[in-house]
Amino acid sequence: MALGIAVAIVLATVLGAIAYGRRTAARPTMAGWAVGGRRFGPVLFWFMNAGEIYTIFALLGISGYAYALGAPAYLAFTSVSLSYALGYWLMPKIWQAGRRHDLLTQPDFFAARYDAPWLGVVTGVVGIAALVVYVQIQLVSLRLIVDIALGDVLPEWAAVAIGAALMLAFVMTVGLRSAAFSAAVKDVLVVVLVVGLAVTVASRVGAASMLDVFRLVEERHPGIGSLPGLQPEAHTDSVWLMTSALTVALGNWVFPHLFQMSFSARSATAIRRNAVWQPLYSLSYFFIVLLGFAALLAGVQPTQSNANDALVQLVATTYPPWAVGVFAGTSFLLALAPGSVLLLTVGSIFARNVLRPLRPALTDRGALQASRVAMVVLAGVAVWLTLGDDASLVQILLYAYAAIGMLAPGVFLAFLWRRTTAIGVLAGIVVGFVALLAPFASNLWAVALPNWEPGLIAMAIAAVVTVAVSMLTRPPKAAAVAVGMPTPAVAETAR
Amino acid sequence: MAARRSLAHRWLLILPFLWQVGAVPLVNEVQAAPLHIPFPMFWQMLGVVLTSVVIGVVYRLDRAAGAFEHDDAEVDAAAEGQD
Repeated sequence: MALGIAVAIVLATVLGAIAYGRRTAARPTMAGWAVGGRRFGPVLFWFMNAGEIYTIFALLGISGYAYALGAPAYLAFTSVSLSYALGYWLMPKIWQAGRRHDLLTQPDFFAARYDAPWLGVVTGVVGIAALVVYVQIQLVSLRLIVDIALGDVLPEWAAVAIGAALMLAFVMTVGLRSAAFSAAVKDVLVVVLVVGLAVTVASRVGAASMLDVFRLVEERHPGIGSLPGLQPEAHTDSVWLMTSALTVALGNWVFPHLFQMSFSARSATAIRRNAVWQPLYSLSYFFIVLLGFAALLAGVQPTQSNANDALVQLVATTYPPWAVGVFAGTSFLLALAPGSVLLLTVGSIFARNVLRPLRPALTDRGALQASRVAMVVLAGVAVWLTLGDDASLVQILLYAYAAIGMLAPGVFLAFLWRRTTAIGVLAGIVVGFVALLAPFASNLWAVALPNWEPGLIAMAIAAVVTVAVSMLTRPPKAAAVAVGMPTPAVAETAR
Repeated sequence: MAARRSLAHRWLLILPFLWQVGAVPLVNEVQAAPLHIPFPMFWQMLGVVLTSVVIGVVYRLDRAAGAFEHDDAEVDAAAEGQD
């Protein structure tokens, strides 16, 4: 029964999404496929945003962290609001550059702003790498959902591969519009699901009311409600939360798929209005933290040490089969829709910004096909990375943000400092990755700046190096600088 | 284009960072639990609401300062460029 309901929810949504995509997008062009033809009005854009932020990570990652550690899960409350406080200023600038210069991808922007096609290739490769790490989150989650729906009969590789195959099949159909449609469906479903679970969970775990769960969990696990939480050896103290929150906020719009999302909006005003309301949706994380605490009270036994499946186990052991089915179906959509957007971005960046500069003769149709091949290959890489990885979802998320943070100085300085150069951005990326990945650097941070999120340290170093090297190299042409920092005179010429 | 008024009010967007990041060590020590919710969590939830309020205020001040007419001029310029 659980399986039947789960399959019905997923199938109905996917078919609806395909029909919707077919009806609204006549010809498959790169622009239509990748940025929705730049015509997303406020409603579609809102769901696109919500769909990107309320991924399966929110449901399983946050509840798992609340279960295993407690207070460190509050990181979730900072991610959306701080991203939009920053995005209110940043996103319209990205949108404007995209609109004026016909940019489709983030590397397009780097190449144009820094007058260096090779920088587009470099940033394209870095972006793809960070996105592949991000895709892991969806695959780890899909695997847990496949297990719960089918009853844990498949080996790990098969469950992960099924998840990846479905994501690919979904994204191959029509592109961004379909993803936005299914994002809308699952946004409604997930709110119903989470609220439904939260209001019914108290009695199942021996609490008197929903809020009593918090009292009970603090009574049985003293210290869970404040940092560092239940495992002091996990180094999740105040410094960890502050630096992680900044890493997420500064890295958020630097992710290629989120950067490019600004391109899909119809107007800058639509983007700004959206930023006003979007943070409030993250209050629903209250219910997810609650469910993580409830899982702890229920004494569920996650199958893995990372506790990613704490909520899955709670639902599977304390709810009837039909509820398990709704949970599995919704979770599946929750991983599928954002995951397909990630793959879509990976594919379009590969074809447009990595392959095309190397093979200029590539046709539009050829580029579309190349991007599809790239999606399959990189989904395969993500599957490979996922197998045998025992990190928590929060940790994988922070890895992805640390990686993309190396592009952050190039994005922010593009809008702030005319003098920034392509060589400066490249130097920042290279030194930043050394600071992030080299063992000697990791050892140094562990001693000098304990509990700091390494991604933030590396990002700061990348920024300093970018500025220093930029001062030593020749600035880009005025027309290129104007991509990020238009002057009124240039705006007139553009007209 | 008419001279645009100051956009200095956009610095208000720093408030959410002071609330949700800067205050973390302080609120972590507070033992109170309003509605049984641990205070640091309650604080972060208030921070989410505050952020929406702040962005809303900045949006209104932007509109009063004529920032959106500038945005809309961009849309028109782009539409002309594309057609």
